[in-house]
Amino acid sequence: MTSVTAAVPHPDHRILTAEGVGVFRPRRGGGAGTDLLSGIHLSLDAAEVVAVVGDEGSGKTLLLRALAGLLPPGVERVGRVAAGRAVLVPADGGLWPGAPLAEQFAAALAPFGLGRGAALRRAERLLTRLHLDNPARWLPLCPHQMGEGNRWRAALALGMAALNGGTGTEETGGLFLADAPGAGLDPTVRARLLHLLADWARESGAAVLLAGRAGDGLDGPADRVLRLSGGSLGPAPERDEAVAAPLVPSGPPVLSVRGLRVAVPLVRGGGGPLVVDDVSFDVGPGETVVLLGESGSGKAVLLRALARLMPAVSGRAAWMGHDLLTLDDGAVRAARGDVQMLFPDPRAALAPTVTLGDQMTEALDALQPGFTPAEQAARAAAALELAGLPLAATGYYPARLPPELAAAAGLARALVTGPRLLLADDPFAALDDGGRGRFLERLLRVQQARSLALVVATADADAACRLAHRVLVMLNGRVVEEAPAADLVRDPRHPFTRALLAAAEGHRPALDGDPPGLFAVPSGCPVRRRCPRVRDFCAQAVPEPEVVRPGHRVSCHYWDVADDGDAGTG
Amino acid sequence: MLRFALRRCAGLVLPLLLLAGLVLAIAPDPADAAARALGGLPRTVGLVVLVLALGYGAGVPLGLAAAMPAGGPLPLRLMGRLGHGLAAVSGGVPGFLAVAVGVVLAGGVEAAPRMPAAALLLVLAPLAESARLARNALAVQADSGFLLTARSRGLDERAALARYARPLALAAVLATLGPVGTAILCGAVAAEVLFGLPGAGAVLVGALHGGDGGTATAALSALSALALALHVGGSVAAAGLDPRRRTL
Amino acid sequence: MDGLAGDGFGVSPWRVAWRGFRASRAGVHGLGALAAVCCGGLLEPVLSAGNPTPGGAAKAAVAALDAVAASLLLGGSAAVLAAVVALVWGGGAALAGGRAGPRLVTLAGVAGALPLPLLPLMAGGLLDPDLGLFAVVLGLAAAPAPAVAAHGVLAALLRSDMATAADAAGLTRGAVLLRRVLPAAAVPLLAACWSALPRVLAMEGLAGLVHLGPGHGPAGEGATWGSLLGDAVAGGGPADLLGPGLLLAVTLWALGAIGDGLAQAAATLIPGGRRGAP
Repeated sequence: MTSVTAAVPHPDHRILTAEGVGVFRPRRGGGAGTDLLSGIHLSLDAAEVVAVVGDEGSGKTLLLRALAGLLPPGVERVGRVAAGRAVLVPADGGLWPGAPLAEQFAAALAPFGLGRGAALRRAERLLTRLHLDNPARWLPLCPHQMGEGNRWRAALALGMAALNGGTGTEETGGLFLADAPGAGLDPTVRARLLHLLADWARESGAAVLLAGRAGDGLDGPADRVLRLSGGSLGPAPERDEAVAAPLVPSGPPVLSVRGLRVAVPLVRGGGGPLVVDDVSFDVGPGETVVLLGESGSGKAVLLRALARLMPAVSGRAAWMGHDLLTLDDGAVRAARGDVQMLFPDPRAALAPTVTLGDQMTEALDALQPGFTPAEQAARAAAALELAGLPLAATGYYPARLPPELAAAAGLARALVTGPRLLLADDPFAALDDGGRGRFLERLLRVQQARSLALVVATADADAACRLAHRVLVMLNGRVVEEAPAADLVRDPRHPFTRALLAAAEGHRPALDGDPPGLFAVPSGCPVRRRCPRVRDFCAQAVPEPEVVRPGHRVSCHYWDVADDGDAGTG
Repeated sequence: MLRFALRRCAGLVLPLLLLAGLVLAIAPDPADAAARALGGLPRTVGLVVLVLALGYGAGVPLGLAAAMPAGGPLPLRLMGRLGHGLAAVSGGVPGFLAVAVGVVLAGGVEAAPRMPAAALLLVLAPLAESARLARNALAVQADSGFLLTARSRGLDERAALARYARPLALAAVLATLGPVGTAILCGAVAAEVLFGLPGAGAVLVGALHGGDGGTATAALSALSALALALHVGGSVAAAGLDPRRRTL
Repeated sequence: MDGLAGDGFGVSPWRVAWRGFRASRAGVHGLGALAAVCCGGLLEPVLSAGNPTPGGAAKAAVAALDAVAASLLLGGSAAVLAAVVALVWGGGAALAGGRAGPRLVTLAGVAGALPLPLLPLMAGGLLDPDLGLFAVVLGLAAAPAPAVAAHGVLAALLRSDMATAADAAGLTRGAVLLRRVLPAAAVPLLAACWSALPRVLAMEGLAGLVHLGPGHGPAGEGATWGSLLGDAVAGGGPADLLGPGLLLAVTLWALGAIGDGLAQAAATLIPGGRRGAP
């Protein structure tokens, strides 16, 4: 049990006091039940923002529900909770799908004596605070008619409205509880939104308790960060994670991609808009290249095109002297032994009705026929060991594995053919913070053991910079900045790169708004509508890559101009 | 909403034209066949709509009560138990079987007023089915985030369910008007035959026994049009309560 | 990682699905009720041998039990045909994709909205079909709804990362379908197609009730529950109706309950659902 009530900023305006709070599931027929949370001591003062982070299943949601007095059936609470007015924004945002936003704001603000007209004006102000563009346009719409980013803005604004009418004081601020706020949003959008929420809390006197996975950016705007682990609350430990070993240059590139273009096939046999546009890069032996980008950047499509899982419109991908993009079916099968892929959710990518061992054997039969069963078993055992799985894992059925074990199973399946190039599509997507760190470490160990060339697509700038030798930052299908990882961390030049790195470090990204959809990419520079450096010229031409220094290129018209108010990366 | 309703209604035009074309192609005297089929249709429509209204009107509240949390006033608890009971036997009493049992137990059709008796017998199936559907639809909503939001703003669990989950559950139930209505329609055919009611179902079976394919096709087309209209009506009513269904 | 390598991950998905089914009380009760009906049918020769000239209710009960085999065989064969048609229809639409796939599904949706249970009546009145042809009509009439469901299951799996990953692992298109997609879809497809069985039995009952179904041969020859219902309503009394009516009602309820159990079994197989060692 750890007391975490130190460093109180406003002791005169305590909003929440939780002492010795525990949650347990009582046993039928009496007797000691199962403890789910125990010995929680927590206090929050007016205008304070606290983040509670924890791995999947650590009890974050349960803690918020216990503090709000909304425990699910079958569990009970002990201890003392003293809080004034509280509002809980649940993990999906909790918007009611049955009515337009205007109705929901009017109902939420009615207890504060606001009529419909005044309530809608207040709603517009709150939505504007959270940077919802043109709120009057969105208020008559229902939640399902909005994009994910705007839905979260609306959910948080509704919570703000319901808590204190959106304009409290230190006495009337109330307690704002948010479970995994902004989950599923791109990192820059989520980080910006959380900072805006924290700004509002500090102005309105509300105490805000955010709960979510570590690494999801909750710590940035928070005054204090606590960790929920083993049912108890304690201070968050410092992160100490592996980084890629420095790359020793050892020969020509093993993969050389030039002018790659991929289109979304909207109709069978027909083309669609380009999602990967004129991308070129090299991967050396044992090198890790990370494609860093948010949703719609084209990073996953690029990997799938390289693995010949979807067709490319044009370009060349030279692998060991062959163009991967033009190989016939037989040659592709031979190449696939060398080029393997990891998928974002390995549990869904592995067959649920076939054991892991059988799936490994099938891959060997299909890609590298000729091995005896004993040789196949030996290769499977070696792959399992590399992936950190016991030999018994050959008998595992993947669908019921926990995410971390499933990620290892996916890695073992990919390693069984002894690939020299591994294409990993968002391999950390399904993992919580602890699992992400361990899997990243495992990936680095495998890479060193097998001298693997790795191409990883991810939106996680923190993981990207620790894993990569070189990072390609992608935006709307193009590479907008390319640099060795160390250079990129030290001196990012593109506003989008700066925003990604800022979000990963918990700072407020200077980029505003949501990424444009596939059919709404603006003319000129694709990021200009969100960019703090935007000038008139940005609308006129797509920026061409310019050399910052050897190995570091950036596609921005004003990469050498200082930002106005850009928090940068420090 | 209006645009959605009009679009769904417009979707009826092609199938109705095809049904009319079928009658024209098969019946030797299409006008006579259509007149006989359409002459009986109002009675069939009346019977089906009456049964649907009675079944859903009683079954849905009972099913919703069954999905409410434990406790509450005694009448609601009794309704909940009845709803659970009805939901448990759902699927075991198809309309035609209920009609057959009713006719035999009454000792013949002359023993009971025909239309009310047919309606009462047919109502058992939609009563149980709508109770099951309503119970399941409300239970699915129980873990929704919007209920937590509402409760955190001060509503108790029952009030939150009633205000926010019930309309969505009702929408899910109304969306089944089509398939449930079609099942009632088939029961109504049996009821019209066994009770001697001069509806489109009786015309259909009479024509089939007499080998009159044209009239049978016309009656089948008329009944099909009614079934399609019930589907469209159900989806429009559901979309009225749940805006998400307007885009489906 | 070692801490995660617990037991229970080697439990086959079929066993997991069976546990999911057993967790459904309605499904287990339905299975029991269906087994009781089948046992009744098997015991019929014993019952009629013990009392060769029964009268009244006993005779009607024996006749209804005698019809168990014919009714279930007719229903079963028609349901199998409906499942095959649904798989070809829904699976074909999923494989076709493009513009043809959605059109095939729309067609199934519109067909499912029609009063298809009246189709066997039309066949009975206009074609005077034998048992085989009647089963075919029943199967076709019951196919559209499972076809829509089968399309949903198969289209989702064909688009899934599982199929893409199998492609990346070198499996041919046929192998992806046979060794990945169909086994993964087996339980959901069974749940989708199971609904055809109560549907065809109800259709047969309705057709028999209005004397447009099969089984109106010489005394007891090929009689089904539907034909017995028709005979009972035409001239019999409550005793004649009790046997076939009760057996049909119990069977329909049991089949519906088993369908609920299968749906629950399918839900337990969703990746990540009910995770951890059992």
